[in-house]
Amino acid sequence: MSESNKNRFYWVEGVTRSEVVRSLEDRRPTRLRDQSVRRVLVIITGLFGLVLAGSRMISGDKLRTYLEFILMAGMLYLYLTLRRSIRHISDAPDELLDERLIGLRNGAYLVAYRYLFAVTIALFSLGHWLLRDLSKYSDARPTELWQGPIFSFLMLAASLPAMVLAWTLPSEKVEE
Amino acid sequence: MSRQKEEPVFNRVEILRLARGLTRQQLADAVGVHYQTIGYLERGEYSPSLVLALRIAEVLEHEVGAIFSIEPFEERKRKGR
Repeated sequence: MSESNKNRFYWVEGVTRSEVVRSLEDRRPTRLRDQSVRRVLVIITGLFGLVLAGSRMISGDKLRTYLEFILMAGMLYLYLTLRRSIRHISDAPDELLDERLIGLRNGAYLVAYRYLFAVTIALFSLGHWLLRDLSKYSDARPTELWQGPIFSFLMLAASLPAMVLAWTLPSEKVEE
Repeated sequence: MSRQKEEPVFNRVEILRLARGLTRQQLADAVGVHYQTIGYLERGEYSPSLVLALRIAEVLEHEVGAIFSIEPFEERKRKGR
């Protein structure tokens, strides 16, 4: 295989061939292979998303900007860690997975799509509530209050398949 | 139509693999799957597709029916099959 093929970047999936292959073949023991650790990561990611959705309520531009930056960077880091914890299965293209892994990935997308509906309803309800009832307590313009739920939605939409897999995959057994 | 609970598929992959002196990784490479998939398959936690079952049968040089079964192999033996 040529060097360019080895490092091929899959634009739609957002992964390189080498990082997926390396991740799938990695046998080093890591705490990320443990289901309980992965579930903690999923919970933290969800909490970050929730706080990010309501972050526009915080008074003080400087504090809010810092907090939003930390939350977004944190969610990005958690998303990348979640992908590593499940060996990039959620984002790998078909050609790098076998039939069992493709089944796992497709199943996760089905569940994630259903959760996304619930997340959308929750975030839009929160956005609506922020605009209607809580805008008088915030110094942000009403339209700015929507930015938090929208950012949160975008980050959760990208992370959900990985979150579902990280939650459901059992702890890895040591293979020979 | 409701989806029926998946029937378990029993197999003798581990016995036949060890008899041929193959590791899970070697069998996985030979049939083109991830090494963990062989582990899941041997523990009965995953039922392979027909294509994968045929590939495994080819590598282990046995008929598919001698490797995979929908009833336990002990029961088959008792019934004289």
